[in-house]
Amino acid sequence: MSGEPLSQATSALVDASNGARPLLVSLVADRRSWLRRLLRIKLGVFALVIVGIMTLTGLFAPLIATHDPLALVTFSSEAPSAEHWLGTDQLGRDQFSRLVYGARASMTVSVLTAAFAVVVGSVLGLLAAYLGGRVDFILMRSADAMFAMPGIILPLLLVGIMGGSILVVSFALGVASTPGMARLMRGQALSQMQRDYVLASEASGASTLRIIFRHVAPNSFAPIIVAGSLTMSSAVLAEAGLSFLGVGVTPPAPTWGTMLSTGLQAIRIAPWQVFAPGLAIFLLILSYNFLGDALRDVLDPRLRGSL
Amino acid sequence: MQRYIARRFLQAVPTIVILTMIVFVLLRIVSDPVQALLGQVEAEALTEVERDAIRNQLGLDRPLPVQYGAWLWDLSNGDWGRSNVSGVPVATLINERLWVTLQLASLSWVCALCLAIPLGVLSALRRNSWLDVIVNVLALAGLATPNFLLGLLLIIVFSIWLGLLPTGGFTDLWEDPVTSLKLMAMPVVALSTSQMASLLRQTRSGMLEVLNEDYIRTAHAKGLSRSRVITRHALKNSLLPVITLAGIQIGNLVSGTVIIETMFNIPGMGLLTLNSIYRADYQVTQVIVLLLAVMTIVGNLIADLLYVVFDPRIRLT
Repeated sequence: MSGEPLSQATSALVDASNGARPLLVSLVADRRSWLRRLLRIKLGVFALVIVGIMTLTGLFAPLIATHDPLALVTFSSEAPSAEHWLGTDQLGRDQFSRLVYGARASMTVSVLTAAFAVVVGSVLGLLAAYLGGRVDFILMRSADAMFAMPGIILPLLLVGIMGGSILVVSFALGVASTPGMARLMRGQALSQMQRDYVLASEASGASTLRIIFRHVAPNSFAPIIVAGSLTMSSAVLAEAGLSFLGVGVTPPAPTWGTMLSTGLQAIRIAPWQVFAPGLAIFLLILSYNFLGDALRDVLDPRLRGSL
Repeated sequence: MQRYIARRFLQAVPTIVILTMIVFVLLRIVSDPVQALLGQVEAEALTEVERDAIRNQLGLDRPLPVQYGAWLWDLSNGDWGRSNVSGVPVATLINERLWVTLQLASLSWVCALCLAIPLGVLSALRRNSWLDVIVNVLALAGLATPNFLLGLLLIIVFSIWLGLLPTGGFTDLWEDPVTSLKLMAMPVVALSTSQMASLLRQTRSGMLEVLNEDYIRTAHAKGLSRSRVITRHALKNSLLPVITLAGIQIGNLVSGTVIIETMFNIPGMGLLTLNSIYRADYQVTQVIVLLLAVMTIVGNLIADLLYVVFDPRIRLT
């Protein structure tokens, strides 16, 4: 799957590394580029709206849900009806309520994962860049080592050790996304440190820590934020994948991935079960991707116009 | 060239050592080998002395560095160990399954590349045409569809509604190509779609960028045919990042097989990985991780070497 927490961030990097084009060229060459940009902003707004709705759904899940997501309310799988808007699964649990509570799991995991990866990855990347030498070598070889492990293996192992709660899944996915973030930050910081303003603040007697956190870090942040929103998208995907395999957030807790795997078991009897959670996962990932694209446009004007 | 390859392999050594050490330690924290060997009920019935005896027999009472060294030594002597659940040699287990996954993954990889590059080029050449718009929308949708979701939808449409394809299983491609392709069609589509989408977007943006370069105008001006300009000049240069991405995606494909093989019931490495992590079968898991790491590193090395084929300006130093 492209779910590999790092893949999208990496492809964003590849995008970013060659996407730069002189602004004038793109303005002249693309007659319709303004239309494209307008569309891009609209997609950004669309993404914000979807993410907003899902966040609110997650926050107010108990108020929105029509049933207890764990209660067995019917004897077998029932098709959608006035009582059960999205039907029930084969254990007789209300699909709509499970979907609503599932938003809570997905939103929490995606936010926590990205926060972990951004914070830890940035700090490690900055340290590697600024301290160099042995610290840099050890950190970057460890990052290489984690890169050499296919994306899903480490979360599988970590969840295996610590059991499946939302916190553990976020931590595991965060750890897996950290090396990519650290590398990105290191590259950014290294290029910033060549700039004259760093030399100037060193000359005026600023301490190393001050230079790192007050000067280099803020100036390196644009691509980190973009990568962060792509990390959220791959976290949603990975969390759903882990739950689907039955090694994510422990059942019977309602998550979209678990709903899909329950749906797979009854796919001959009630194939419609998978549509709602599938659509929810699809929309959330799509929104995070759009958000990343929009942020890249806003934060880094050089990349405008490159899709 | 040979020196470069040799050096890259040397550089990979510390990476692989660190990785295997991390996994080795993690696995020994996770797993209770006695329980893995006997099952929970029987394991709990044992006294502490009996448990220690088993640990001693498996060599698990030695310090971790000693265990790690012993494992490496056995590996280098061609002894990959035995599953601590079933007792089957790890080499046999992997040998049976590696071929299955290789067929599945390489078919998906080739499919993704073969569709992504032509479509990406076409949509770049006809920028803003209906074709470009459709291809782009599909690519965005492909990126946002998890492989297991796509797999489920395929099963619903092709197995349940249309009754065309079986829902799971595996046959060797060389023994019975027709049945095999029928069985692999859905897994391959599910695995390759998101890879294809990101390769396609990369090809498209690479082409768009290159097409604006001066040397493309020069090539047109000196009277080269359009197809020659596109294939020899534009495509060759815009393929570089696509190759890197395709190399990176080998790891993603392997990740994908864990879920897809579970879903379509394909007896390959992915299913073996999941099962051995489930059952705390640390002997099998650590060899698998080592193999996967080597595969990923070799994949990236091949991508880097292909760079030279496409861009002679790059010198390998």
